[in-house]
Amino acid sequence: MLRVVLTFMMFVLLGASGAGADETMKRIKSDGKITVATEAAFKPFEYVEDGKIVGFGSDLLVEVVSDLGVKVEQLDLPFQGILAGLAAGQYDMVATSVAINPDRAKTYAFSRPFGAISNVIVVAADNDKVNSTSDLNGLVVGSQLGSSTEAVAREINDGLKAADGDGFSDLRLYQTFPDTAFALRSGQVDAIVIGSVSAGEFMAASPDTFRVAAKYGDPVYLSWVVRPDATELLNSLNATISRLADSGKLYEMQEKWIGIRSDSPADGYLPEGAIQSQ
Amino acid sequence: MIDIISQHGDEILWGLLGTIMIVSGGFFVGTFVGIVMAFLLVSRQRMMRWPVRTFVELIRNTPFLIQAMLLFAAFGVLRIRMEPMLVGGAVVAIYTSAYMAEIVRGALKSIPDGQWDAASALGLRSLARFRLVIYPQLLPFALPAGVNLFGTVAKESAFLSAVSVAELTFAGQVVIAQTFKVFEVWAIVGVLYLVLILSILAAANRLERGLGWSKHA
Amino acid sequence: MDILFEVAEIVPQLLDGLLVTLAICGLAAVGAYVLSIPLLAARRSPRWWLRRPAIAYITLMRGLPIVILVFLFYFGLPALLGLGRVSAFWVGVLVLAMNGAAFNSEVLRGAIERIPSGQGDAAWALGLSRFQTWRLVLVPQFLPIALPALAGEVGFLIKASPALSLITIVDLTRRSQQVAMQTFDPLAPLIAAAFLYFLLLGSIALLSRRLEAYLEPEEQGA
Repeated sequence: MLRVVLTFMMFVLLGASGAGADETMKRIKSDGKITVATEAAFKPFEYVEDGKIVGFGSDLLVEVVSDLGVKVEQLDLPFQGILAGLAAGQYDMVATSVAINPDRAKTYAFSRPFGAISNVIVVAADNDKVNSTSDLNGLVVGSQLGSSTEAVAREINDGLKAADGDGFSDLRLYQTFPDTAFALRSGQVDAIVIGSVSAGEFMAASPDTFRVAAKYGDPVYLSWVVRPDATELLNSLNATISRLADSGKLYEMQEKWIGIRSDSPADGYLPEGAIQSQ
Repeated sequence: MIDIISQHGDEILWGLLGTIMIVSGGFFVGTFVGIVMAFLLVSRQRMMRWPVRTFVELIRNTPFLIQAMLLFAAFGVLRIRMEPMLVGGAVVAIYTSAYMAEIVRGALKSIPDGQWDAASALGLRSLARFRLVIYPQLLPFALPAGVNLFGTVAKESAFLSAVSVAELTFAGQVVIAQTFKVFEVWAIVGVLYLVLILSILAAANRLERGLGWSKHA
Repeated sequence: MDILFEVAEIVPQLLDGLLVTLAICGLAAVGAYVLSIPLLAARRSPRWWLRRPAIAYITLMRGLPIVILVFLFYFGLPALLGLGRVSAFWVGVLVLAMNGAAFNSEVLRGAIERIPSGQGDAAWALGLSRFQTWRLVLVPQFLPIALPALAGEVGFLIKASPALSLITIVDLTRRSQQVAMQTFDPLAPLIAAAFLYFLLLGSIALLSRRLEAYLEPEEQGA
């Protein structure tokens, strides 16, 4: 028995991922195919309708892939493992909206942003007690596991405690944003921290159920993600986004799917200490 | 590897503790309910038998994950706020009860009908009849299978991570979301499950031998 | 009763997911059967260097949750071994087949060990060849014991398969979640999925029981 465990541990200790310098683009070209990962549970950016992945991201993916001149294979997987799977080499690109934050930028390379969202605190429509982050003391708060809003929720909680508050009574993490919204609607949690666009979707899908109680922090930019050594792929992706931004098509896509236009800065979107060179 | 253990070891151990609590609590309750259901399953009254039979077949013929998601959704629809750990324990208890009912029913069936009659002929009342005559014979059959079931339930409990119960697999996901170290975290989590489940299975083996239960004597 | 109408409306939407579950479990069942034969031989081998690894393998498969195995094989091992990209579908088939093979070989071993060892010697004394001994004496005895259990094994694979919904495979479980997100109502899609799983697993269990009754009609006297 011990032997089994030891062999297993050896495997573990030897473990290291071995991806070479921009091998990614080489392989994409030679295979004639790019594999991307999407968490299709983030309406209106990427979601499933009648068994197909649709949304803003799908339209963008069509443009990106046609510029690359290859075919695409799109995987749909849970958000919490999606960045780690990219590092593990399971796919070439994360084609799902990922908010740029300093922690992630240390490990992953972000594209030029194609949109921005605010972090908001959402409560049940009939809850009139929560109107700012300080009202969250002693409440059960929900968010999505591994999302940037999880980090925001933790930050809010730390802030409450630093201000001599009790902090949340519990932070519950769910696998998807819809799960998080279900939890709020069914009274499992008192408030959720979520992106403003998602909040809008849930309020439209389930009218008179939710209320935005407060905003938190500055808007965050949304990007797609590649491994930092995939510089050529990143350049191609950025070129596509820039082309769409310059022609104005990007903003039309935003209006079509999200309903409002938002910023797509060409530079200055990376935080301090980002691994990629701009 | 080392830095994950030193920085996130406590989170993973809390997860392990969560798994142990959910599985042992749920298994304990489920075993009790399962034994009661087993007696209903061998009841001569059809009205007693068929609701239990339906329940047992429903549970034994659907995946654990679906049961877990359904129970969570049901509490959601009813708008009852529940501690996720408790709901997780309830899922384990429901699952355990159905399988345990079948194990105990099988053991009960192996006891010849005549023994019940013989025991009552001796003037034993129903509880004494069970405790003195039936139970000692039931145990060697049901106990090893029961402990094996405990191992199965411990494995199935990993599915509870998908419904956000703070158990071992979920703890692994939380740590991966922070460290992006997939293989290392799953390897550590895997070793913990291995140790937990293999010690349960070893206990089952020992019980099987200790009770002198040779398969086809 | 509204919910029943909702469920009935959702069931057809889940059929493509059901098909994926069936395809993976079918392929995995075949793989499990094929893998279980050498595994069984190694497990019963008198040579320790065959037997020990077989025992270690079976122990590992019995001791790890399917969820963890799936994560390890999809996310962990490919990176570790430098395999690059792997297909989630085939990882799913492989993990289920590997798990099933361990399960199978134990079922078969149990069945073989129920046959008194003297029978092999007796057959040999009668001048039967090794192959004839297997075909004429041993297989007809252990098949009735093993076959229903192996049919039940397909059920075991189907019950384990929702783990694959966690690694990009749009199986019955994942499909029902997708519908839940689309309709913003988790209950009806889950009931629909549970219904389909129940139909599938229930008919397999029924088949397994029929097979048992058919192959072993006078077992009671044994």
